[in-house]
Amino acid sequence: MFALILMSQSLAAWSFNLAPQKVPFAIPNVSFTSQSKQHSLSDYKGKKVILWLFSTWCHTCVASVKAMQKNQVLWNKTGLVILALRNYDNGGYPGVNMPAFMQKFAPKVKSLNNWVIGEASQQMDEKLNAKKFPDIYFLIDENGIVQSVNTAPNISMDIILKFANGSTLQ
Amino acid sequence: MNTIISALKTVLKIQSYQWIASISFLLFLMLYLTTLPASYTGGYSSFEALQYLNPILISFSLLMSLLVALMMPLIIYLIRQGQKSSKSSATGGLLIGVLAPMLCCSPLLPIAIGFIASVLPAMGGTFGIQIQGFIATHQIELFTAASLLLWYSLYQNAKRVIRGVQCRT
Repeated sequence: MFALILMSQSLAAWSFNLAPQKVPFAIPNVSFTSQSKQHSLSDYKGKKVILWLFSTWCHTCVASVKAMQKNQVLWNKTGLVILALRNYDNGGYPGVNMPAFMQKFAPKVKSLNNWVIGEASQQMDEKLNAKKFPDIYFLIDENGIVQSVNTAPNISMDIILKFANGSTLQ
Repeated sequence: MNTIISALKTVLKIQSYQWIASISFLLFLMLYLTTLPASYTGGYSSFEALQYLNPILISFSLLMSLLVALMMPLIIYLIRQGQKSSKSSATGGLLIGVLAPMLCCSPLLPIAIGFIASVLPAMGGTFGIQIQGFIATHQIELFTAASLLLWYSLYQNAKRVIRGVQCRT
């Protein structure tokens, strides 16, 4: 029984390598859909971007979308673009669609210019989230280079803030 | 219920068992309070998770830690009396309660499935996501099942304590 306590606490110190390849790497030019239009990641070159792929049934995604919305003043200051995309096929498990999810947990972001809400393509899923993480994000600099890959923005917000403020991550 | 109350009356009249129950309650309450909200922190069980506690998670934390705290003195009492205790359903209840929130939305399961799939390709695909999705959408049911298993184990151990007392008299 006490082994369980130790195990659960040791998981706290566990750091996962989620990146599909060694960081830093150039983000592949894959597409996604937003408001029924096809977009490409190359459209965002020259901007600091967080590409966040998540499934709408996931609890960290709920907590994270609220945390991201809470920091909107900082994103305005730093010019961070937030590409919040539902995993392709919602990660393979049913759940609500993106408009309903955002309306429920972060209704303010609908009217914000720096948020792009959409759906990942199968190609994006294969290239960036082949292991099917329910919650994964990529911090992409102005040159299209991925500087960090992580999960659960709500608990790794310091990394996102550092990146948005232009601090070196590695 | 009467069996449990009688067994607890027998065991908890001894002060050392009262201490075991109290310490177990505090330890397991801490464990559950930091672990049950881990589905909101990507599997990280820490004090940071406390901010994601809600009335449902607090209620389950209290219930499960109370059940474990009542069961611990009975198990130790049975062992000291040289009798067999029932631990399998207790372990099952603990495992479900602790592991479910950790596996729900963390990268642990996809990484493990990815590793298994490299050896057994049939285990790949969306197998891991099905488990994670199920855990995420059925958390209350899983915590209820964990509580029932703990209750059952408490009952089993209480029965053995009563039987032991009857055999001696």
